[in-house]
Amino acid sequence: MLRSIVARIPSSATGGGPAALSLQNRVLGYTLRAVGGRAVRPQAHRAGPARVAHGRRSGSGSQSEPRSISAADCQNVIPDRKVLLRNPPAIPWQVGHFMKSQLLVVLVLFLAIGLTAAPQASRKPLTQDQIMELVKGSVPSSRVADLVRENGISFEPTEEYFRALRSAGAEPVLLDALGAARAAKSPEQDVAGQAKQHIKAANALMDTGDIDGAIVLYQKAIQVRPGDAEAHRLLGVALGKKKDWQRDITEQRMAIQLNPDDAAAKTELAVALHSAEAEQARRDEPHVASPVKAPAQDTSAQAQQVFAAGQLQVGQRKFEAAAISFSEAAQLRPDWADPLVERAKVYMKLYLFREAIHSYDQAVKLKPNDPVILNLRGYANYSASEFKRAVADFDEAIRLNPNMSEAYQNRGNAKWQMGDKAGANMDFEKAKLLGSGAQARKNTKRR
Amino acid sequence: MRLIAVRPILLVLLTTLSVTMLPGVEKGSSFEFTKVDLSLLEQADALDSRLEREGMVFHDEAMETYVNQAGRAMLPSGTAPERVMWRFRVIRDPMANAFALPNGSIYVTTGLVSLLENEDQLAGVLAHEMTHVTDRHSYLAFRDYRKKSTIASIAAYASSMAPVNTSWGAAIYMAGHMVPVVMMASINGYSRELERDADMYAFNKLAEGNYDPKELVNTFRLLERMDEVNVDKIYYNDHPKLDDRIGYMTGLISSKPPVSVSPEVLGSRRMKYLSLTEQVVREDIHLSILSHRPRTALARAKKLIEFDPNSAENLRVQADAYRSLGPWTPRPTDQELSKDGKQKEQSLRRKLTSDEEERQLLANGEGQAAWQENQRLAEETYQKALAIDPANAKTYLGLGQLYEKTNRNKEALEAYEKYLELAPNALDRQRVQGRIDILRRSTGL
Repeated sequence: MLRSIVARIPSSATGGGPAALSLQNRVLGYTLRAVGGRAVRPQAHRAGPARVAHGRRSGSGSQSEPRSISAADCQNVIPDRKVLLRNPPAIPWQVGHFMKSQLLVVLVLFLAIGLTAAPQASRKPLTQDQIMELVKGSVPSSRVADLVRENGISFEPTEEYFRALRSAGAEPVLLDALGAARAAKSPEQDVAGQAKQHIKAANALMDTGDIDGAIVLYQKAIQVRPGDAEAHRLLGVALGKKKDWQRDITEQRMAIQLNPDDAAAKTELAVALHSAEAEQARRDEPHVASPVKAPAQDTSAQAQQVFAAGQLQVGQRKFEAAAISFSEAAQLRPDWADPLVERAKVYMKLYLFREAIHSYDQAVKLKPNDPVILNLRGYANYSASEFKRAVADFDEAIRLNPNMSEAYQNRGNAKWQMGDKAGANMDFEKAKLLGSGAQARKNTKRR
Repeated sequence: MRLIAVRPILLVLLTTLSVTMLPGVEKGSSFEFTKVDLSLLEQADALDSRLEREGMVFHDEAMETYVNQAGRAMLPSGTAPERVMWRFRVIRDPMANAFALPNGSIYVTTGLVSLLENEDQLAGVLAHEMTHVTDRHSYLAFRDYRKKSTIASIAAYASSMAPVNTSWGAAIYMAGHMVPVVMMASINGYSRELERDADMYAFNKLAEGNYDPKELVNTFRLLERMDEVNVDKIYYNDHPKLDDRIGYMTGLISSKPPVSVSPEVLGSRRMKYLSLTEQVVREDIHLSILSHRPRTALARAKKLIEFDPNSAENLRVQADAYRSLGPWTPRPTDQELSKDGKQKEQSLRRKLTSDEEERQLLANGEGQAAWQENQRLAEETYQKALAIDPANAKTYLGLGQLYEKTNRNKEALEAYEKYLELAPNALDRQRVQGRIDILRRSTGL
């Protein structure tokens, strides 16, 4: 239900698209934590938006210009300017020729200064558009390259920009010069910018549900700039999403150490500590593990909702987020096998065979006589090169449903890998027979 | 050596001739295995273990996971086609290529990994290769080949091939000697129709999987880029074919516009891709240098630096690439790319070893100038790397080799000594110590 509230937060509330997105994500993160770790911290929810806004400010404030001009400030300034515009200070022409000639002298002086300053001004770094214009205006690339070398550039040339330049007719001389100009930037500035770039990309990945990918990029940001408190904090958050509380705690502590005023990191640390504690408690007393069971109907509906969200995430290729959703659904309704099966399928896609098998194991415990689940577990075992176990699973699936063509084909594959060629060939024959039969039945139905 | 190298090229010609005229494609599900097919399957399994044993497979856990995730996300969850076991692997070879064996093993070369720019492109390549497996293209091509060939036993044929050359960057060459002729089709490409089928399938798979199918076209464009003058023709870098592919793919995109992925998300996926593949790219640059493709090495190094300009390791690798360029310019000159230039280069290659060719180029003014410039850039880049990480042993090794080649013996000596000081257990300690001894004698220290 929190999701729907979050979805309703207008993006303007946080002042921008990406910020709003990541705000959503952050609040979502808390919901997930709350459900997953059973550590509901209502104040954390309530404090969510404000805290996040604060966090973002403290994050960007350390590196970029302060942007916090309030509306009141503007109101204070604008009237003054309006007054000025309405009553411009008139040049007192009536003071006579003497004043006028003085003015002229001043003007000449200004001109002189301007002229001497001119070369200084032309050394302003070139912008992206300026270079493109020069290239399109068929200025020789070598000349533009000289300009770039003399003046430097004011932007980070991306690969797309290089490509655009090349198609506009730029020669390698210019491209090399641009590359060199960028490399010559001051290292600290460059490092900060680079770390920021990684963080930005990681945030975007978090929004797409690719938590592992985000973790990789946050780590990269830290590798580039080990003192980046924001990167540590966000890495911690990502780890928290994977319920790796211990590493989450380490990262938050690191962030706080680097920036003792980082309130966001402090809150994150509190949440992580609480979640870790709750999980520990749950592990110690497994018999009180599901006190949430009391309002059965409510959790069942909630489980269904979370399950549906997981399915949606699979469709969007947000596999890690989906795995988390399915886990939640399974926790909300421990007697329901579907989320366990779906989670296992997601684990298969994530190349986590052991986890998939484990998840199927749990599902089989709930539904021991389901040939479909047994076939799926068999295939997971097959993928993990556990051929004996795979064959056992397929045997069981076929016993329960002797017409399951897929299980025959899978068993054939497993036997083939084990070197039982005769057995494999027989299974393949059978699979084809059943398969074509099924196909024929389908065809007649269609007619 | 050189003579043997001609043979795979002949084989390619043979196979492409035969494979282009395939009968109607039977679809995977109704495929009936014959004895001939099974022998091909056996060969594929043998090739798998051979590649593994020869150390051609690149083992890096992060990379392995990444390639597998990209591939498996597009696979059905409950079953594999008959006699298929999906495996996704990265193979050490600086030539950009990917191939699928009929048993379900899909290989992507380090060269392709380092050429591509994001996950969507990698997924596209994998989806394309998966089609060759599920639609049994290898078997179909092989059956067709057998109809026209007089070679009765492929096993006998395979064993009659020359001994394997195990030097790096020779996966294709190696495969050409290890597998029956027609497996070359798996590696060098099938007929236009089959490849087109695979492209269409890849397009759909990408769209289904929330990837951006437009990245397929970008992949083709990347493959079109020329870093080296002489590249063996395989399907992946065949220009007329690439133009054709870009053509029909763009047509497909405009007729069936996929849900577009926002540039921000694409950018992030690109960052993730570059971050995860950094190690592979470094390895690939090393392989490119070893297989005398210094221009490719430099192009890849530039990409690395673009992504992470403050990594001493990346700078070192770039410096290595500059050093290996010798008298060649960083990009092929127009003259080299002209038909005449290509022919000249080809005949030079046939006659001379790369060392001899280098010497010949150094004899003229242009070669000298390029050489000077490359050595200067190499030194500059090594110094940049040292400024960031003064304890990187390999940087000193590279510097030593650079100085030695430019006859700055005293500096070479110092660099080598520093290298051994920082890496006392280096595998090439003996060799470097030998260089040090010689340099000591010649400088009289």
